Amino acid sequence: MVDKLTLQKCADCATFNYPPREVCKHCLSVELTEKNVSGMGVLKSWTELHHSFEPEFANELPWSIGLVTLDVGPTIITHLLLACDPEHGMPVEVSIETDIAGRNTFHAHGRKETQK
Amino acid sequence: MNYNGVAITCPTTVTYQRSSEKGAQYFFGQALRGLLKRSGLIKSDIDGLCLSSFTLAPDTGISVADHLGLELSWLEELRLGGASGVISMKRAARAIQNGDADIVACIGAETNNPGSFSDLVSNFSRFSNDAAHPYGAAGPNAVFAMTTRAYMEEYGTTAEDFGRLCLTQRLNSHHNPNALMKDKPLSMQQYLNARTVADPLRLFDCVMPCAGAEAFLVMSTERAHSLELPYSTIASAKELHNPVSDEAVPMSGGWSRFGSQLYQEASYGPSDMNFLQSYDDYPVIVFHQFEDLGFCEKGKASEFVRNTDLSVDSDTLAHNSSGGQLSCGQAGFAGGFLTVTEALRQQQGCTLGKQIKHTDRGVVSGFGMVNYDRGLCSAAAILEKGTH
Repeated sequence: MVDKLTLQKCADCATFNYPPREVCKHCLSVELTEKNVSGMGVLKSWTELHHSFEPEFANELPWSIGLVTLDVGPTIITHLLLACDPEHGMPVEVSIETDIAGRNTFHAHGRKETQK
Repeated sequence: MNYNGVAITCPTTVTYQRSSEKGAQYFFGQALRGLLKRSGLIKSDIDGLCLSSFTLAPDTGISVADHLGLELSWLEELRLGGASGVISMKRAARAIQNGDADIVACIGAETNNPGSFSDLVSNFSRFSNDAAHPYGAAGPNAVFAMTTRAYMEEYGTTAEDFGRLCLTQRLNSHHNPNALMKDKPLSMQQYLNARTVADPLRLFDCVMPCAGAEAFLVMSTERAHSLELPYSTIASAKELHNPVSDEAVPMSGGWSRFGSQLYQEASYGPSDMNFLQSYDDYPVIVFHQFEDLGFCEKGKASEFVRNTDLSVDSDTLAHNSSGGQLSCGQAGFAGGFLTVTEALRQQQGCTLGKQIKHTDRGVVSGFGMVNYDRGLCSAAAILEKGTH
Protein backbone atom coordinates (compact mmCIF):
# COMPACT_ATOMS: atom_id res chain seq x y z
CA MET A 1 0.00 0.00 0.00
CA VAL A 2 1.36 3.40 -0.99
CA ASP A 3 0.36 6.54 0.84
CA LYS A 4 1.14 10.14 0.22
CA LEU A 5 3.97 11.54 2.25
CA THR A 6 2.96 13.61 5.24
CA LEU A 7 5.09 15.67 7.60
CA GLN A 8 4.33 17.82 10.62
CA LYS A 9 3.96 21.44 9.60
CA CYS A 10 3.89 24.32 12.04
CA ALA A 11 0.73 26.43 11.61
CA ASP A 12 2.52 29.49 13.02
CA CYS A 13 5.87 29.57 11.21
CA ALA A 14 5.36 27.01 8.39
CA THR A 15 8.44 24.98 9.42
CA PHE A 16 8.31 21.28 8.59
CA ASN A 17 9.39 19.22 11.61
CA TYR A 18 10.88 15.73 11.54
CA PRO A 19 11.12 13.45 13.51
CA PRO A 20 7.59 14.14 14.82
CA ARG A 21 7.54 16.26 17.95
CA GLU A 22 5.18 18.09 20.27
CA VAL A 23 6.68 21.52 19.89
CA CYS A 24 7.97 23.28 16.76
CA LYS A 25 11.76 23.31 16.88
CA HIS A 26 11.84 26.74 15.25
CA CYS A 27 9.18 28.85 17.04
CA LEU A 28 8.06 26.53 19.91
CA SER A 29 4.45 26.61 18.72
CA VAL A 30 2.30 23.59 19.58
CA GLU A 31 0.12 24.06 16.49
CA LEU A 32 1.58 21.18 14.51
CA THR A 33 -0.48 19.34 11.92
CA GLU A 34 0.24 16.59 9.42
CA LYS A 35 0.36 17.95 5.86
CA ASN A 36 0.78 16.22 2.54
CA VAL A 37 4.15 17.09 1.05
CA SER A 38 6.07 16.28 -2.08
CA GLY A 39 8.24 13.20 -1.73
CA MET A 40 10.94 14.67 -3.95
CA GLY A 41 14.36 14.75 -2.37
CA VAL A 42 18.06 14.11 -2.78
CA LEU A 43 20.09 11.17 -1.50
CA LYS A 44 22.78 12.45 0.89
CA SER A 45 24.22 9.18 2.16
CA TRP A 46 23.39 5.51 2.47
CA THR A 47 24.47 2.25 4.06
CA GLU A 48 23.86 -1.43 3.61
CA LEU A 49 23.16 -2.93 7.03
CA HIS A 50 24.73 -6.33 7.62
CA HIS A 51 23.59 -6.40 11.23
CA SER A 52 20.45 -5.12 12.92
CA PHE A 53 19.01 -5.16 16.42
CA GLU A 54 15.53 -5.17 14.87
CA PRO A 55 14.31 -8.79 14.68
CA GLU A 56 12.20 -8.09 11.58
CA PHE A 57 15.30 -7.32 9.59
CA ALA A 58 17.40 -10.30 10.73
CA ASN A 59 16.27 -12.47 7.80
CA GLU A 60 16.39 -9.63 5.29
CA LEU A 61 20.04 -8.58 5.60
CA PRO A 62 21.81 -6.93 3.96
CA TRP A 63 19.29 -4.11 4.03
CA SER A 64 19.74 -0.71 2.41
CA ILE A 65 18.78 2.55 4.06
CA GLY A 66 19.64 6.14 3.26
CA LEU A 67 19.55 9.75 4.35
CA VAL A 68 17.37 11.84 2.08
CA THR A 69 16.95 15.59 2.27
CA LEU A 70 13.40 16.32 1.17
CA ASP A 71 12.77 19.36 -1.00
CA VAL A 72 10.53 20.70 1.79
CA GLY A 73 13.44 20.74 4.25
CA PRO A 74 13.92 17.88 6.71
CA THR A 75 16.47 15.09 6.28
CA ILE A 76 14.99 11.67 6.94
CA ILE A 77 16.25 8.13 7.42
CA THR A 78 14.44 5.96 4.86
CA HIS A 79 14.38 2.50 3.36
CA LEU A 80 16.21 2.59 0.05
CA LEU A 81 14.77 0.74 -2.93
CA LEU A 82 16.72 1.78 -5.99
CA ALA A 83 16.87 0.10 -9.35
CA CYS A 84 20.54 1.10 -9.68
CA ASP A 85 23.57 1.72 -7.46
CA PRO A 86 23.13 4.66 -5.10
CA GLU A 87 25.01 7.84 -5.94
CA HIS A 88 25.68 10.90 -3.83
CA GLY A 89 23.19 13.64 -4.75
CA MET A 90 20.91 11.29 -6.67
CA PRO A 91 17.32 12.59 -6.97
CA VAL A 92 14.86 10.24 -5.27
CA GLU A 93 11.16 10.14 -4.52
CA VAL A 94 9.94 9.10 -1.08
CA SER A 95 6.56 7.56 -0.32
CA ILE A 96 5.00 5.91 2.70
CA GLU A 97 4.57 2.16 2.24
CA THR A 98 3.95 -0.83 4.46
CA ASP A 99 7.30 -2.47 5.21
CA ILE A 100 8.28 -6.06 6.02
CA ALA A 101 7.48 -5.44 9.68
CA GLY A 102 3.97 -4.22 8.79
CA ARG A 103 4.81 -0.62 9.67
CA ASN A 104 4.07 2.36 7.46
CA THR A 105 7.49 3.80 6.79
CA PHE A 106 9.42 5.93 4.31
CA HIS A 107 10.59 4.19 1.14
CA ALA A 108 12.86 6.02 -1.30
CA HIS A 109 12.80 5.06 -4.98
CA GLY A 110 14.82 6.37 -7.87
CA ARG A 111 12.96 8.90 -9.94
CA LYS A 112 11.92 7.47 -13.28
CA GLU A 113 14.14 9.77 -15.33
CA THR A 114 17.22 8.75 -13.33
CA GLN A 115 16.71 4.99 -13.39
CA LYS A 116 19.00 3.21 -15.79
CA MET B 1 37.05 32.32 33.52
CA ASN B 2 40.16 30.21 33.85
CA TYR B 3 40.63 26.97 35.77
CA ASN B 4 43.57 28.14 37.87
CA GLY B 5 44.16 26.44 41.17
CA VAL B 6 42.48 23.16 40.20
CA ALA B 7 44.36 19.84 40.10
CA ILE B 8 43.22 16.73 38.21
CA THR B 9 44.87 13.65 39.66
CA CYS B 10 44.85 9.94 40.55
CA PRO B 11 43.82 8.40 37.21
CA THR B 12 42.21 5.05 37.99
CA THR B 13 40.99 2.26 35.73
CA VAL B 14 38.91 -0.75 36.72
CA THR B 15 40.04 -3.60 34.49
CA TYR B 16 37.89 -4.00 31.39
CA GLN B 17 35.98 -7.23 30.88
CA ARG B 18 34.14 -8.31 27.76
CA SER B 19 31.09 -8.99 29.92
CA SER B 20 30.18 -9.15 33.58
CA GLU B 21 27.37 -10.49 35.73
CA LYS B 22 28.01 -7.68 38.25
CA GLY B 23 25.99 -4.48 38.27
CA ALA B 24 27.29 -0.99 37.52
CA GLN B 25 27.51 -0.31 41.29
CA TYR B 26 30.27 -2.93 41.53
CA PHE B 27 32.35 -0.97 39.04
CA PHE B 28 31.64 2.33 40.83
CA GLY B 29 32.79 0.71 44.06
CA GLN B 30 35.98 -0.66 42.54
CA ALA B 31 36.74 2.72 40.99
CA LEU B 32 36.28 4.53 44.32
CA ARG B 33 38.51 2.00 46.10
CA GLY B 34 41.14 2.60 43.45
CA LEU B 35 40.93 6.37 43.86
CA LEU B 36 41.33 6.12 47.65
CA LYS B 37 44.26 3.74 47.34
CA ARG B 38 46.06 5.95 44.84
CA SER B 39 45.45 9.18 46.77
CA GLY B 40 45.90 7.92 50.34
CA LEU B 41 42.59 9.56 51.23
CA ILE B 42 39.78 7.96 53.20
CA LYS B 43 36.18 7.74 52.03
CA SER B 44 34.96 10.60 54.23
CA ASP B 45 37.43 12.95 52.51
CA ILE B 46 35.40 12.67 49.31
CA ASP B 47 32.63 15.28 49.46
CA GLY B 48 31.85 15.62 45.75
CA LEU B 49 30.84 13.06 43.16
CA CYS B 50 30.34 13.43 39.44
CA LEU B 51 29.29 10.22 37.75
CA SER B 52 28.14 8.74 34.48
CA SER B 53 26.69 5.37 33.57
CA PHE B 54 24.41 3.85 30.95
CA THR B 55 23.75 0.69 32.92
CA LEU B 56 23.00 2.12 36.36
CA ALA B 57 19.20 2.10 35.93
CA PRO B 58 16.99 2.02 37.86
CA ASP B 59 19.56 3.59 40.18
CA THR B 60 20.73 7.19 39.85
CA GLY B 61 23.58 9.29 41.22
CA ILE B 62 22.16 9.45 44.71
CA SER B 63 21.78 5.66 44.68
CA VAL B 64 25.52 5.40 44.10
CA ALA B 65 26.17 7.68 47.08
CA ASP B 66 23.88 5.48 49.17
CA HIS B 67 25.37 2.24 47.84
CA LEU B 68 28.94 3.36 48.55
CA GLY B 69 28.17 5.19 51.81
CA LEU B 70 29.31 8.62 50.65
CA GLU B 71 28.14 11.84 52.33
CA LEU B 72 28.32 14.56 49.70
CA SER B 73 28.03 18.34 49.57
CA TRP B 74 28.02 18.23 45.75
CA LEU B 75 26.60 15.59 43.42
CA GLU B 76 26.20 15.61 39.68
CA GLU B 77 25.13 12.91 37.25
CA LEU B 78 25.95 13.41 33.59
CA ARG B 79 24.18 11.59 30.80
CA LEU B 80 26.15 13.11 27.97
CA GLY B 81 27.50 9.88 26.47
CA GLY B 82 31.09 10.05 25.34
CA ALA B 83 31.31 13.75 26.23
CA SER B 84 30.68 12.97 29.93
CA GLY B 85 34.32 12.42 30.92
CA VAL B 86 35.72 15.74 29.74
CA ILE B 87 32.64 17.59 30.97
CA SER B 88 32.74 15.93 34.40
CA MET B 89 36.28 17.24 34.80
CA LYS B 90 35.14 20.70 33.75
CA ARG B 91 32.11 20.75 36.09
CA ALA B 92 34.09 19.34 39.00
CA ALA B 93 36.77 21.99 38.50
CA ARG B 94 34.13 24.70 38.86
CA ALA B 95 32.79 23.05 42.02
CA ILE B 96 36.31 23.22 43.50
CA GLN B 97 36.77 26.85 42.46
CA ASN B 98 33.36 27.76 43.89
CA GLY B 99 34.07 26.01 47.16
CA ASP B 100 31.13 23.64 46.78
CA ALA B 101 33.35 20.64 47.45
CA ASP B 102 36.94 19.96 48.53
CA ILE B 103 37.54 16.70 46.70
CA VAL B 104 35.42 15.48 43.82
CA ALA B 105 35.55 11.92 42.52
CA CYS B 106 34.71 11.75 38.81
CA ILE B 107 33.72 8.22 37.82
CA GLY B 108 32.40 6.66 34.63
CA ALA B 109 31.43 3.04 35.36
CA GLU B 110 29.59 0.43 33.39
CA THR B 111 28.65 -3.19 33.34
CA ASN B 112 28.00 -5.17 30.18
CA ASN B 113 26.21 -8.44 29.66
CA PRO B 114 24.50 -10.11 26.73
CA GLY B 115 21.38 -8.09 26.19
CA SER B 116 22.36 -4.95 28.11
CA PHE B 117 23.75 -3.25 25.01
CA SER B 118 20.88 -4.23 22.72
CA ASP B 119 18.38 -3.21 25.43
CA LEU B 120 20.08 0.13 25.63
CA VAL B 121 20.15 0.90 21.92
CA SER B 122 16.62 -0.38 21.44
CA ASN B 123 15.20 2.35 23.63
CA PHE B 124 17.73 5.17 23.47
CA SER B 125 15.67 8.23 22.62
CA ARG B 126 12.22 9.11 21.37
CA PHE B 127 13.46 10.34 17.99
CA SER B 128 15.49 7.17 17.50
CA ASN B 129 12.54 5.02 18.47
CA ASP B 130 10.26 6.85 16.04
CA ALA B 131 12.53 7.59 13.12
CA ALA B 132 15.58 5.29 13.13
CA HIS B 133 14.54 1.92 14.61
CA PRO B 134 11.79 1.24 12.04
CA TYR B 135 14.53 1.28 9.40
CA GLY B 136 16.65 -1.33 11.19
CA ALA B 137 18.97 1.40 12.37
CA ALA B 138 18.94 0.99 16.15
CA GLY B 139 22.35 1.66 17.67
CA PRO B 140 24.99 4.01 16.35
CA ASN B 141 26.45 1.87 13.53
CA ALA B 142 23.95 2.85 10.83
CA VAL B 143 24.12 6.57 11.52
CA PHE B 144 27.92 6.62 11.65
CA ALA B 145 28.13 4.45 8.54
CA MET B 146 26.23 7.17 6.69
CA THR B 147 28.41 9.89 8.23
CA THR B 148 31.48 7.93 7.13
CA ARG B 149 30.13 7.46 3.59
CA ALA B 150 29.38 11.18 3.21
CA TYR B 151 32.89 12.08 4.42
CA MET B 152 34.50 9.63 1.98
CA GLU B 153 32.40 10.99 -0.90
CA GLU B 154 33.24 14.60 -0.04
CA TYR B 155 36.98 14.24 0.52
CA GLY B 156 37.98 11.12 -1.40
CA THR B 157 38.97 9.28 1.78
CA THR B 158 39.69 5.56 1.36
CA ALA B 159 39.15 2.61 3.65
CA GLU B 160 42.96 2.36 3.94
CA ASP B 161 43.06 5.89 5.40
CA PHE B 162 40.74 4.85 8.23
CA GLY B 163 42.66 1.58 8.46
CA ARG B 164 45.94 3.38 9.12
CA LEU B 165 44.41 5.03 12.16
CA CYS B 166 43.02 1.74 13.48
CA LEU B 167 46.32 -0.08 12.92
CA THR B 168 48.36 2.55 14.76
CA GLN B 169 45.97 2.49 17.70
CA ARG B 170 46.17 -1.29 17.77
CA LEU B 171 49.97 -1.09 17.90
CA ASN B 172 49.66 1.38 20.79
CA SER B 173 47.35 -1.01 22.62
CA HIS B 174 49.84 -3.87 22.55
CA HIS B 175 51.62 -2.15 25.48
CA ASN B 176 48.44 -1.71 27.51
CA PRO B 177 47.46 -4.69 29.70
CA ASN B 178 43.94 -3.25 30.07
CA ALA B 179 43.24 -3.23 26.33
CA LEU B 180 40.90 -6.07 25.37
CA MET B 181 42.61 -6.31 21.96
CA LYS B 182 46.18 -6.07 23.27
CA ASP B 183 47.11 -9.57 22.06
CA LYS B 184 45.36 -9.24 18.70
CA PRO B 185 47.66 -7.86 16.03
CA LEU B 186 45.84 -6.15 13.16
CA SER B 187 47.19 -5.99 9.61
CA MET B 188 45.79 -3.82 6.83
CA GLN B 189 44.67 -6.99 5.07
CA GLN B 190 42.78 -8.15 8.16
CA TYR B 191 41.25 -4.70 8.57
CA LEU B 192 40.07 -4.58 4.95
CA ASN B 193 38.87 -8.19 4.87
CA ALA B 194 36.94 -8.02 8.14
CA ARG B 195 33.21 -8.52 7.87
CA THR B 196 31.02 -5.57 6.99
CA VAL B 197 28.85 -4.29 9.82
CA ALA B 198 27.13 -1.38 8.09
CA ASP B 199 28.81 -0.56 4.81
CA PRO B 200 31.32 1.17 4.62
CA LEU B 201 32.01 0.31 8.30
CA ARG B 202 33.85 -2.94 8.88
CA LEU B 203 34.28 -4.81 12.13
CA PHE B 204 37.45 -2.98 13.26
CA ASP B 205 35.88 0.44 12.68
CA CYS B 206 33.53 -0.38 15.55
CA VAL B 207 34.26 -0.50 19.28
CA MET B 208 33.66 -3.57 21.40
CA PRO B 209 31.20 -2.90 24.24
CA CYS B 210 32.61 -4.01 27.60
CA ALA B 211 32.40 -3.56 31.36
CA GLY B 212 34.84 -1.42 33.36
CA ALA B 213 35.41 2.00 34.84
CA GLU B 214 37.60 5.08 34.51
CA ALA B 215 37.97 7.64 37.28
CA PHE B 216 40.00 10.56 38.61
CA LEU B 217 39.98 13.09 41.46
CA VAL B 218 39.58 16.86 41.21
CA MET B 219 40.86 19.05 44.07
CA SER B 220 42.76 22.28 44.68
CA THR B 221 46.41 22.38 43.65
CA GLU B 222 47.24 23.17 47.33
CA ARG B 223 45.56 19.95 48.42
CA ALA B 224 47.36 17.98 45.73
CA HIS B 225 50.65 19.46 46.92
CA SER B 226 49.97 18.61 50.56
CA LEU B 227 49.04 15.06 49.56
CA GLU B 228 52.19 14.94 47.40
CA LEU B 229 50.17 13.84 44.39
CA PRO B 230 51.32 14.49 40.84
CA TYR B 231 48.60 16.33 38.94
CA SER B 232 47.52 18.01 35.73
CA THR B 233 45.84 21.37 35.28
CA ILE B 234 43.22 22.61 32.82
CA ALA B 235 44.55 25.33 30.52
CA SER B 236 41.14 25.64 28.87
CA ALA B 237 37.99 23.59 28.40
CA LYS B 238 34.90 23.89 26.22
CA GLU B 239 31.65 22.09 25.57
CA LEU B 240 28.90 22.56 22.98
CA HIS B 241 25.58 20.78 22.72
CA ASN B 242 23.24 20.49 19.77
CA PRO B 243 25.09 22.93 17.50
CA VAL B 244 22.67 24.44 15.01
CA SER B 245 23.59 23.11 11.60
CA ASP B 246 22.04 22.97 8.18
CA GLU B 247 24.28 20.08 7.14
CA ALA B 248 22.18 17.07 6.13
CA VAL B 249 25.10 14.88 7.17
CA PRO B 250 27.55 16.29 9.73
CA MET B 251 31.04 16.91 8.33
CA SER B 252 32.37 18.13 11.68
CA GLY B 253 31.56 18.08 15.40
CA GLY B 254 30.99 20.86 17.92
CA TRP B 255 34.79 21.24 18.23
CA SER B 256 34.84 23.13 14.93
CA ARG B 257 32.86 25.88 16.64
CA PHE B 258 35.02 26.32 19.74
CA GLY B 259 38.40 24.92 18.67
CA SER B 260 40.13 28.25 18.04
CA GLN B 261 38.74 29.71 21.29
CA LEU B 262 39.99 26.65 23.18
CA TYR B 263 43.55 27.39 22.05
CA GLN B 264 43.21 31.15 22.46
CA GLU B 265 42.17 30.83 26.10
CA ALA B 266 45.11 28.51 26.76
CA SER B 267 47.52 30.80 24.84
CA TYR B 268 48.68 27.83 22.79
CA GLY B 269 48.19 26.56 19.28
CA PRO B 270 47.69 23.03 17.95
CA SER B 271 51.42 22.72 17.16
CA ASP B 272 52.20 23.19 20.88
CA MET B 273 50.31 20.00 21.74
CA ASN B 274 52.34 16.88 22.57
CA PHE B 275 49.39 14.53 22.42
CA LEU B 276 45.75 14.16 21.49
CA GLN B 277 43.48 11.71 23.28
CA SER B 278 40.48 11.81 20.96
CA TYR B 279 37.06 10.21 21.20
CA ASP B 280 37.28 7.28 18.80
CA ASP B 281 33.86 5.66 18.63
CA TYR B 282 34.41 5.51 14.85
CA PRO B 283 37.44 6.52 12.77
CA VAL B 284 35.53 9.25 10.91
CA ILE B 285 34.84 11.00 14.21
CA VAL B 286 38.57 11.02 14.94
CA PHE B 287 39.12 12.54 11.48
CA HIS B 288 36.61 15.26 12.41
CA GLN B 289 38.57 15.93 15.60
CA PHE B 290 41.93 16.16 13.79
CA GLU B 291 40.37 18.85 11.60
CA ASP B 292 38.10 20.63 14.05
CA LEU B 293 40.84 20.83 16.70
CA GLY B 294 43.26 22.39 14.23
CA PHE B 295 45.75 19.57 13.64
CA CYS B 296 45.03 19.74 9.91
CA GLU B 297 42.73 21.59 7.53
CA LYS B 298 39.15 20.51 6.89
CA GLY B 299 39.10 17.49 4.61
CA LYS B 300 42.84 16.83 5.03
CA ALA B 301 42.72 14.23 7.81
CA SER B 302 43.52 11.38 5.41
CA GLU B 303 46.70 13.13 4.34
CA PHE B 304 47.47 13.96 7.98
CA VAL B 305 47.15 10.31 9.01
CA ARG B 306 49.34 9.22 6.08
CA ASN B 307 52.10 11.72 6.89
CA THR B 308 52.10 11.94 10.68
CA ASP B 309 53.52 9.57 13.26
CA LEU B 310 50.58 9.16 15.64
CA SER B 311 52.08 6.27 17.60
CA VAL B 312 53.21 6.13 21.23
CA ASP B 313 56.75 6.73 19.94
CA SER B 314 55.81 9.93 18.12
CA ASP B 315 57.94 13.04 18.46
CA THR B 316 55.14 15.22 17.08
CA LEU B 317 51.72 14.06 18.25
CA ALA B 318 51.09 10.89 20.21
CA HIS B 319 47.45 9.95 19.61
CA ASN B 320 45.26 7.64 21.71
CA SER B 321 48.29 6.19 23.42
CA SER B 322 46.17 3.66 25.34
CA GLY B 323 44.98 2.16 22.06
CA GLY B 324 41.75 4.10 22.41
CA GLN B 325 38.32 2.57 22.59
CA LEU B 326 38.90 0.91 19.21
CA SER B 327 41.46 -1.36 20.86
CA CYS B 328 40.69 -1.14 24.60
CA GLY B 329 36.93 -1.64 24.28
CA GLN B 330 34.14 0.79 25.11
CA ALA B 331 32.95 0.61 28.68
CA GLY B 332 29.81 2.64 27.92
CA PHE B 333 29.99 6.18 29.29
CA ALA B 334 33.38 5.32 30.83
CA GLY B 335 34.67 5.39 27.25
CA GLY B 336 34.45 9.16 27.45
CA PHE B 337 36.58 9.15 30.62
CA LEU B 338 39.32 7.06 28.97
CA THR B 339 40.69 10.06 27.07
CA VAL B 340 41.07 11.96 30.35
CA THR B 341 42.57 9.17 32.45
CA GLU B 342 45.04 8.29 29.70
CA ALA B 343 46.20 11.91 29.45
CA LEU B 344 46.57 12.10 33.25
CA ARG B 345 48.52 8.83 33.34
CA GLN B 346 50.90 10.06 30.67
CA GLN B 347 51.46 13.39 32.44
CA GLN B 348 51.73 11.87 35.90
CA GLY B 349 54.08 9.00 35.02
CA CYS B 350 51.76 6.11 35.85
CA THR B 351 50.92 4.71 32.43
CA LEU B 352 49.36 1.31 31.96
CA GLY B 353 50.96 1.03 28.53
CA LYS B 354 53.93 2.81 27.04
CA GLN B 355 55.08 6.20 28.30
CA ILE B 356 54.97 8.73 25.46
CA LYS B 357 57.97 11.01 24.95
CA HIS B 358 56.50 14.46 25.51
CA THR B 359 53.73 15.24 27.96
CA ASP B 360 53.89 18.97 28.80
CA ARG B 361 50.48 19.59 27.27
CA GLY B 362 47.86 17.96 25.12
CA VAL B 363 44.22 17.83 24.13
CA VAL B 364 41.51 15.50 25.43
CA SER B 365 38.15 15.39 23.72
CA GLY B 366 34.77 13.74 24.00
CA PHE B 367 31.68 13.19 21.88
CA GLY B 368 28.33 11.60 22.43
CA MET B 369 24.59 11.07 22.30
CA VAL B 370 23.07 10.18 18.96
CA ASN B 371 19.55 11.42 19.59
CA TYR B 372 18.54 10.78 15.98
CA ASP B 373 21.00 11.15 13.11
CA ARG B 374 24.21 12.50 14.69
CA GLY B 375 26.13 12.90 17.94
CA LEU B 376 25.04 16.09 19.71
CA CYS B 377 27.48 16.64 22.60
CA SER B 378 31.08 17.74 22.02
CA ALA B 379 33.75 18.69 24.54
CA ALA B 380 37.50 19.26 24.65
CA ALA B 381 40.14 20.48 27.08
CA ILE B 382 43.83 21.30 27.06
CA LEU B 383 45.64 19.64 29.95
CA GLU B 384 49.02 20.76 31.25
CA LYS B 385 51.40 18.83 33.39
CA GLY B 386 51.31 20.29 36.92
CA THR B 387 54.45 21.82 38.41
CA HIS B 388 55.66 21.01 41.89
